[in-house]
Amino acid sequence: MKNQIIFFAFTLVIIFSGCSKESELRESVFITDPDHAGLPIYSEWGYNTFGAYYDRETFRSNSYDVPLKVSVTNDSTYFSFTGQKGGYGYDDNVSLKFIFPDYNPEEYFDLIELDDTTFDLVDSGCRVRFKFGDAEYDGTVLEGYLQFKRAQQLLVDEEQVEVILSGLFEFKILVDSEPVSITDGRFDIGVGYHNFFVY
Amino acid sequence: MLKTILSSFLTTIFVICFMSVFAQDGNTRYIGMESGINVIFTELPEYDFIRGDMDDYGGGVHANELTGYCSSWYAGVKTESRSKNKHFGFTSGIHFTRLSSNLTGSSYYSSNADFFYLLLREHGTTTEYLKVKEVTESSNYIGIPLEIRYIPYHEDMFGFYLKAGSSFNYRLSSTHDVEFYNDEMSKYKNDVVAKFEEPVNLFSNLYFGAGLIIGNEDKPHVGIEGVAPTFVFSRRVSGIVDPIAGIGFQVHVYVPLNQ
Repeated sequence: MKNQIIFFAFTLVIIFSGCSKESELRESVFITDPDHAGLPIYSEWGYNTFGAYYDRETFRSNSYDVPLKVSVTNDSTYFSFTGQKGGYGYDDNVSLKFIFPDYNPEEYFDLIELDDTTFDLVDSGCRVRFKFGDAEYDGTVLEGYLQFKRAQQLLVDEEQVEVILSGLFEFKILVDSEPVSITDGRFDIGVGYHNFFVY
Repeated sequence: MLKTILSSFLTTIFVICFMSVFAQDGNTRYIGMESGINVIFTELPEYDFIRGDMDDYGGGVHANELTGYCSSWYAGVKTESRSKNKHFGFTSGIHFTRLSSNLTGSSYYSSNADFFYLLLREHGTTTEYLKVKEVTESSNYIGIPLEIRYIPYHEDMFGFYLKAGSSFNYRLSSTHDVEFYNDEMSKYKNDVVAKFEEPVNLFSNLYFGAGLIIGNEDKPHVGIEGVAPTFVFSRRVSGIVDPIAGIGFQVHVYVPLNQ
């Protein structure tokens, strides 16, 4: 009984430390990359931004959509990047999902194991899906990669808050039978209680 | 470079004038005390250990805004030698200056978030930030002011003057303080202070001003002046902000030594 109480108390500590109200860290800090017009710089601060060129258009995070949600379901993990396509306006809402089968992190801090990991999007069995408004397309990756250059466990005032995932991606894909190149992709996003889901 | 040349030129002119006037007999000489304050506009260095720090004029959106503030207070004694026509005064002395600067953070998204995230350390895959509300630095300097005053008008109890001056200052000491969002983090004060550079030991400035003389020149009298602008020539006068230029206010009391 005593062990159960200790285990329960320990679980509460973990849960509440995960719920830490660092709401400032959820906001986006978008610093423009002077070498890649319209894209954020590559950073490792947890700036909650991503960006890439979708052919010649920019596809990037914005200030109101959660830039990345990590969902673990059906023995697969979904990394869903949501933002806007095109340089102006907010009507071209787009999601890019990387779906990794047989990868099942139990808690968001398990994502730390992605540190310095590169996935070949053809050989790894990863699926890539685009969603434009209500239309969703499973793409066929021709070549490319998703690289987690750095995964950091972030402590603020000695409390664990989130895991920062920073990396690069680039690939060629058939979307609705049309070949598309996604180039110069970069992301720097904090994953914590608010954007990590297991169901 | 231009600032250094200008400062050196003015100093040379001043010293020549001061020596030539001071050497003359029959000039009126004063001894006095002064005290004043300056509010100094600053630039912020680009810190690579503060989250979200970015050039204000760069493209993008940032969540936090850093604000730097700098001011100085000074007091000292000085002596002035007037030209025979009493229109020019050459002043020098010694003064103590306390220069205070601080760095604070605020959020665009929440008025309650009056802090910034500072990178404490990275080890392996773990990164540690601290929430810091304010970093303050105070430096004490001993300095020599060199000033030229032009007094076009002085009748009875009232006069007017224009002033140009420069001062050369040596740092005696500096102290720092850090206010944390979470008081328990105060144990990291030295780690935070070590992130910032030490202020330089020597700094000079150039200043201009205009003021009123209240009282008879031949008796103890008071001067009240506005100082604007003040240019700070040296970089890193403060370890946390870069003071550029400012405005100020000064009061002095002069007592004539000879008539």
